[in-house]
Amino acid sequence: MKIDYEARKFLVVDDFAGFRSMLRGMLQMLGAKHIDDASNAARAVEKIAKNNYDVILCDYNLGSGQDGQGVLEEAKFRGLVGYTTVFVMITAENTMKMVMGAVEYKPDDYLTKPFNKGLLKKRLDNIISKKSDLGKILRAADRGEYKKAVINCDKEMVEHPKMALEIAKIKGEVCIRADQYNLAEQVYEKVLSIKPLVWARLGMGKVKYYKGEYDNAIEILQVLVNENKLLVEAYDLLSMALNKRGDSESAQTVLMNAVELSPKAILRHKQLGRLAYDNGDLVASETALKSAVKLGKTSYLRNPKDHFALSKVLLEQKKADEALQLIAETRKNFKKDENVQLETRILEAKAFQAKGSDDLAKRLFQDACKDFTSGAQEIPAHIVEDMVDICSEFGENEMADALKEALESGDETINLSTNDALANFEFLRMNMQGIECYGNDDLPQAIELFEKAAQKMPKHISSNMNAAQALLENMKEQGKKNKVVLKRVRKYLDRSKKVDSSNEKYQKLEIMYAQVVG
Amino acid sequence: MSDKIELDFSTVMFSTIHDVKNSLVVAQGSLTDLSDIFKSNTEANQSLALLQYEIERTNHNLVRMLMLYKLNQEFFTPHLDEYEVDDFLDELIIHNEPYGEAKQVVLEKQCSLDEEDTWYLDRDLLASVINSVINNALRYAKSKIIISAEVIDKQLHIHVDDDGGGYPDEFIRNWKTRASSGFNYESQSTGLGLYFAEKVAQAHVLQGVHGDVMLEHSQHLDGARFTMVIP
Repeated sequence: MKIDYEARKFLVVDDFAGFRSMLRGMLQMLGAKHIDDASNAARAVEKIAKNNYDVILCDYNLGSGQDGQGVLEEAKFRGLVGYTTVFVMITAENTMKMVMGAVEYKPDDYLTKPFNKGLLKKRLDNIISKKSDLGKILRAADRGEYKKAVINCDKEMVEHPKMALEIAKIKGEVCIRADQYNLAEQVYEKVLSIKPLVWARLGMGKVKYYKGEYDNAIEILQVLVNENKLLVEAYDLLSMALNKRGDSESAQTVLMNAVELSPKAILRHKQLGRLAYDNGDLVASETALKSAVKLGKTSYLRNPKDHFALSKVLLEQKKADEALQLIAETRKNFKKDENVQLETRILEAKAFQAKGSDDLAKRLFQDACKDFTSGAQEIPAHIVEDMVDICSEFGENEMADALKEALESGDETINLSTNDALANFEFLRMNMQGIECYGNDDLPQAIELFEKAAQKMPKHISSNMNAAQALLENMKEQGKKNKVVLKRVRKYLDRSKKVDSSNEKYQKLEIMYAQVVG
Repeated sequence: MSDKIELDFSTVMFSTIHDVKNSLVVAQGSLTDLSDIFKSNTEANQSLALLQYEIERTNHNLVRMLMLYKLNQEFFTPHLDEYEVDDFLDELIIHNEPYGEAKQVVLEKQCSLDEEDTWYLDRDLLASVINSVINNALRYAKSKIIISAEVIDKQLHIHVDDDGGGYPDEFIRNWKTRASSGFNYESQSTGLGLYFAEKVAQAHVLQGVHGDVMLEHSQHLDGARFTMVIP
């Protein structure tokens, strides 16, 4: 098959200008006309997003920032390159390649420097013609039509018996994507009965994991890891399987080994951060999350959640100053994200409280409360959870309960204006503010707030009792009875009685009422 | 107390190799351009051929140093996968053709396996060993190097034959015992190279059987034969 280089679009990625122009020269000699280049990972991804390249030649080592594997993972993760795109990783030394991500994030081939034009042509010709032979399968997979891709695999196996192994590899992967684990198992079993190929054993481990056969998965993967110390994907799966079996500490150890092998893989750091946190290993969790945050600075995988997780880990270790610094950074980095801004206020309140700056903490907490009651904002459940937490810390148990109830829906985001449990949230806040005014001897303001809250929430014992108490005290202070007001007090007391007649405070209020009525 | 800066030597080495390799690639590219310019100038071409040969040798030395370092750190795992043997030989020829042309040595492929026959091997690791062997053979070969493959007793044999006169008898008898005793070698890099080749061969294991390296007199050409056996 004659490969048409002129019609294809190429991208060359290397941090070394000399090499870029070398490679460009080679491609031109092969007939290529459309060649772009990029000097770092960020620029490479930018170009891949804008142009539809047929062939990407990317150096593994790209200086600071993400490496070549990072480029491939982000491009695949975002769907910028598919099965039909040719991606060749160029490496300076040939033992590096195993320190790589998952099967679905593997390049089509590796080229070790130095190579000449002839070898480049041979490799590219091979991949391109193979991909064109398997075009039907790959195109279906690219469109996400995995079932169709599986059918095409079977057809192609009859048509190209010599490519049977190649096709089996793709079929296994596609079956897993289509959740057809039994079918995938058959594929791998057949391959393994001929030869113990690493990809087939890995695939088998994966199938066992997805089928819930964790012991089998652990057995397969443990052997793979022992034999192939650099096969990080096996570590990932092994860690997941161990965790499912309840051995979260071994799971953490395995993942720590994998992280050491692939220090630039953000997702693995995040996973480790979470796992270590659940294991109560705050030090390991902090290290992992710090790496995730640092690497995220130059990556599409940057996520404020990592910042928050790290802030919490820092706070739990009483590193309030460091946490505050991180929170400030987070606020700056995600300026336009309202929810992030809200979460930073919650965490900041926590941090200042930890530092003993109670007034500042309270003010920030009030600000957060205002955000929660200001309207139509959809708030992610994890932020609401944090709010529950801090409400309890500030003694706002009713508010915490209301939020907890809202969380019971299990929805990922909670709309404060439409959620029943939160319909009274604003009035809960008024009750809370009323308590504050009462404490500051601002009785008229406290009364207004308590009454508003009590009127809206007839079954809310605290605001009804508060309203009654404040009104009674006010009358006592002024030394005169007001029948209209007393009627309102009676109403609040009756409501309280209905909710809980054994409440001590309620009983004391009845005595006070009797005294005022005289 | 010392105020020495803590250096992670492996990082230093990896980044140095990365850099030096980039330089080598560019130097090689410039050489190719120069050879085109001086096509008719025999004298210039001979100098260029020597340069090209030395660049390739530097590269092999770098790779070998790195591998031996990893071996020493017990961080050496082959990446075995299925590869077409015929294709593998083609790539060896393509890689070495420019050096052969410069030295006026013909590189010939002889593959007794079918075109689609595959073998379970670490392609890049094996290529770096055999390229280094071919590089060495180019130094001695008068006019021809044959790269061949055949299957004997279910094991893959890859041979490199040259017409350069061959190894001394004493060397063929004793190299293995000396290689196993380590690096205390009078013949320096040859010994290191063979030691490395042996390690790569041994890293290829199938059902408990390890690969092997053999040195002989060539039966086909008047010279040396290097053989890598892969189970």
